[in-house]
Amino acid sequence: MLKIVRQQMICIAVPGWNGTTDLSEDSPVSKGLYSLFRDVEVVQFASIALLPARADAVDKRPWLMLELAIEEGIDPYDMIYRLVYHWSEAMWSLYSSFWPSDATALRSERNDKLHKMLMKHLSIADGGFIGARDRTARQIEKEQELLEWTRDEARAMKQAMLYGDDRAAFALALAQRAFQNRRFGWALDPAPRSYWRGKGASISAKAGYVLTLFVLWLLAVWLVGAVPRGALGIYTWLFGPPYSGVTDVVAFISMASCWVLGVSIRIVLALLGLGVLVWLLLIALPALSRTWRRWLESVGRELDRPTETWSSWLTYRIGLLLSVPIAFALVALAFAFIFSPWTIVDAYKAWTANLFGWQIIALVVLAIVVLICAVGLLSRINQDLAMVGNWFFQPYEEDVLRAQQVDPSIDNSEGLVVRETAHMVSLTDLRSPNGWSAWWIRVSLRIVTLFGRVIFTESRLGSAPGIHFGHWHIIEDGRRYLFCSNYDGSFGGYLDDFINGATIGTNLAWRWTTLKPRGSAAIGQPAVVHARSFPPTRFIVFRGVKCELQFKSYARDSMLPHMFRFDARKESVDQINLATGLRDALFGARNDSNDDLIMRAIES
Amino acid sequence: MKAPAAHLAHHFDDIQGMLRSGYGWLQDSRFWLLTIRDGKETAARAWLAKFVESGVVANAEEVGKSRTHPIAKAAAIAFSFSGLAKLGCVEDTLHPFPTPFRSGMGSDARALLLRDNPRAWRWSDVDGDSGDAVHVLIAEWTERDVGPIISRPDETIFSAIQVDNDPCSFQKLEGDNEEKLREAFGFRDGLAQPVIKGLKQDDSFRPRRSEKDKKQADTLYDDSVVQPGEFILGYRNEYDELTYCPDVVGWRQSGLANHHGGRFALNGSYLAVRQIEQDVEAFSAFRQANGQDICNKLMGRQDNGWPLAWKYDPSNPKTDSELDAFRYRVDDANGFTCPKGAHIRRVNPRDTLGVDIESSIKSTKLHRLLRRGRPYREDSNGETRKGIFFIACNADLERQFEFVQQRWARNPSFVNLHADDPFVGSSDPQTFPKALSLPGLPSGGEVSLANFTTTLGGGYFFLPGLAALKFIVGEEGATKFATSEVAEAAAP
Repeated sequence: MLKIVRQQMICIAVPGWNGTTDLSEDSPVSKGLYSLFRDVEVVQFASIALLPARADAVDKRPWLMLELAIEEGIDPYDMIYRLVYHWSEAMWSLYSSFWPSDATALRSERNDKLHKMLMKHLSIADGGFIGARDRTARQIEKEQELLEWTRDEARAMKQAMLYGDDRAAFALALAQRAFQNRRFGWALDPAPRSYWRGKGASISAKAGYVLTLFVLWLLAVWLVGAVPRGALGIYTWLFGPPYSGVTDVVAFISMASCWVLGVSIRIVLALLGLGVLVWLLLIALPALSRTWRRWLESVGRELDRPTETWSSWLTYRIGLLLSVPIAFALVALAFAFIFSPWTIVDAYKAWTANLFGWQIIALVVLAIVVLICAVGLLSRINQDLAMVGNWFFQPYEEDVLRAQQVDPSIDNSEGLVVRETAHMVSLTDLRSPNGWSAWWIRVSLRIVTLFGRVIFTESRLGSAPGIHFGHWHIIEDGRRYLFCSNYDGSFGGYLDDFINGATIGTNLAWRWTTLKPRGSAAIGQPAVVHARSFPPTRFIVFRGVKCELQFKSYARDSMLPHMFRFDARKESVDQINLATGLRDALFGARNDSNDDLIMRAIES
Repeated sequence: MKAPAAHLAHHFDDIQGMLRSGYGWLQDSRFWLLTIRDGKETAARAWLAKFVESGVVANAEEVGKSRTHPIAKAAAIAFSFSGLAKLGCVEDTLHPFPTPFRSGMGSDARALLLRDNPRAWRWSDVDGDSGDAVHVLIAEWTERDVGPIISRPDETIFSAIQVDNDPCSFQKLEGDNEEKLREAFGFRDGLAQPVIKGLKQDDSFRPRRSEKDKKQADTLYDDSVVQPGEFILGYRNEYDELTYCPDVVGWRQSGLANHHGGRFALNGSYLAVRQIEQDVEAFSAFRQANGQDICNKLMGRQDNGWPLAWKYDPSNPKTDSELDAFRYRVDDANGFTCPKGAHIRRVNPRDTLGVDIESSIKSTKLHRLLRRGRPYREDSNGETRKGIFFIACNADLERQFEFVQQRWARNPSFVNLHADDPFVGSSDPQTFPKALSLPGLPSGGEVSLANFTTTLGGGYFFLPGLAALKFIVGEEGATKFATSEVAEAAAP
């Protein structure tokens, strides 16, 4: 399921670019590529950038990076094939400088060679998020035409004063006119959406999917044991007992199957137990107790606090002292429950052997009272700390060097697309040890991808709006980390959305990276003169991006300008969603909700 | 632990007074845009030093006492990046000025990012088509008929552009208990100002309309309370972080820092300045054709400053803070009363843009501007031109002024609309005519608009703390002057 998303966003980073191809806006190569992407129709977005070589690389020449965001369901091999073997040979004109002496070679030979090379350097996204571009470019285009037509029609109807004050009649008339217009016959079908945004969008569908998978898993494990057992039984009935070795093997398989069944069920129970505990502490108790809620908010605020204060310093360290042993104890308990549940039962029996029932109850009550007192005490301390004086919350300056600096090439890149979908390329290095960082990043990105695919289906990643495509790649054998994104708005605003709306995901994905010095890929392109670190996190997910100054400086310094950019559609995420909604409202059932949607669309 | 941050309350005497007040009681104003002539840097420093020593540059402490001891005149001085360089300030390599300020509002990059193209500016903060860069901005406010603080800067030292107050901008209309500031189209101006936490401009009012509404009113008041670091460099901002303070060579050695380890920009702010001419005739014609109600919809407020959703009641006068105590999300989510594209809803969307009210308010507070501009009037060749000399104080030009301009005011796709701000900026009427959608009319409505305003010039200026101001114009820091040639060479 994740691969469907990941292979929609691909990067081809080829080392050893010698910089002889002209990629300026009006160059034949750029024009050729633009026509090519238009012609193949399934490319939603493409860009070309130069990735500077690592400072310790033997070959100091930059890498030529081609980024592609394509439509769902196309295999990257087929995509590259379509591009390379296109009659225009635009791809060859881009890459021909890698074979300076092959200009006269046969076209088929050249293309074979190019296809092979591109596949070698192809990287499908390690993680990605797709906002409103789950639709095809054609669908977006046609729905925009419908939106424009509806607005024009409405304007004409208003001038003709046909429907007075009646909004419902106005909406109905618009719907009728759209229905009668043959141009929009295609809109009679409901707008096609990817599964999790259409039929699979309901909670029951998502929960049912997980439950079905689990039941199927249990069934498969049971069958692994049951089938040999059944076969052995039939054989014994027909021919008598087989060799003892066969019986032993079947018994072992059967036992292993039962063990896996038990472990699987207990894993789910343990996860459910942990889930209930988290729900109790983070959702139920805050809802019931104002004290608990305030205390939790206060802890969260201190852990997220970007500047160092005594309050945040103490909260973090006390949190470490308390939470690490508790987390270990919980994990140990969960493992004991999963793999050896009788250990817990035996331990409980041994502990309560000499206690009467009332003593056990009294102990439980005592534990609850102690817990409540502890929480009350912490809360009281928390409230009183506000009165101990400013020194406790007095911030200490985090000296962020060379902050708020943007390379002119990045400013220019951003300025040129200010009226279109914005675009960024960020290149950072993985923290040492690379393998460990890469593993963590991949796990985090898979989680982000899964959430983006199944849960954040309303074009918002967390609560960060306006993202068309965002994809992350670990390249150069796990040494570097590439992030490409298309979004609505300014880059600063985009980072603000991450800080406020997708803190955890951003911390998880970026905390394993750093920015090492590197030269510039070409004249006029940015270099990293001074190393930078991603802002320190607390408990992996807190702080980090909340340090605005440090995070933005880090992100800004890691950015690279694009040299070529193709965008199949220029509409914003909101406009795309609006047009799809209008289509479904115009051609759907006539009710207040749809009427309102139609009127809102023409009034926007 | 690192060095502790400065306490705002200990630095009122180092913060220029215009950050604490818009000097509403000083009804005359004048703005000077000065370009220092080549070779006259020393004389310029001396002239500016004399001006500073005269004590007219008010600090926040003096302004705070103005309720009991009102000051009769006040001035503020700010410098463009090229101005700082001209006066010999060399930015520190470890703590340079932010890119937007260094490149200047007049630069090509900023023209693109601010969606300004095409520009035909009379002046800007960088050398170019609009002439030599403006180096120094002096703003002065005086009581009516007291006369200007500066009669005329020395023309051998400076070339100067003078922007004069519109004497008709303060008016007392029916229902007003005092004269109120009105811009050239006749709307109340200067409402909806953020309240700087710890440096309140108006400490006297908390909008408690009734006991019943007490809790709600307090919440609405809190909507406009913003952390000081959003406007003053070196203090906590809305991210709970200390705002970045650039530094200049020689500052630490000068011994002028009020706070131990405090950098040059501590207690300063950035000013985004624009001279915006208003086409009063075009707007009057529009008003005549469409009526005042539609004009109010364009602005998002009634011309007397009352929110569109409120019924004007002259017997129940409201203070400015009370007139700012409203939200959109619950009562007017669809823009039926105040259109989503109305000017004040665009530049301060309050509780509308996030996933809920709380996150929306929090997000909007990241982009607030403290406005200190005044209406101006220009009489030349028998013709009178009016407009606003717009000044927005902010601590992060990119996150505040540029964001508001680029993503909200001049963005046609803002909240799914298809036109930009009805008042801000101009656009080609053939390719992208100005228009405003008016939701909620019987079957929707749209009005076509003319270009009501034209930007004549603009620049980014640094408003230093008073200690830093002394450093800029004084003789401290010999290094500063030794390296002034380097600074000039580095200037854009």
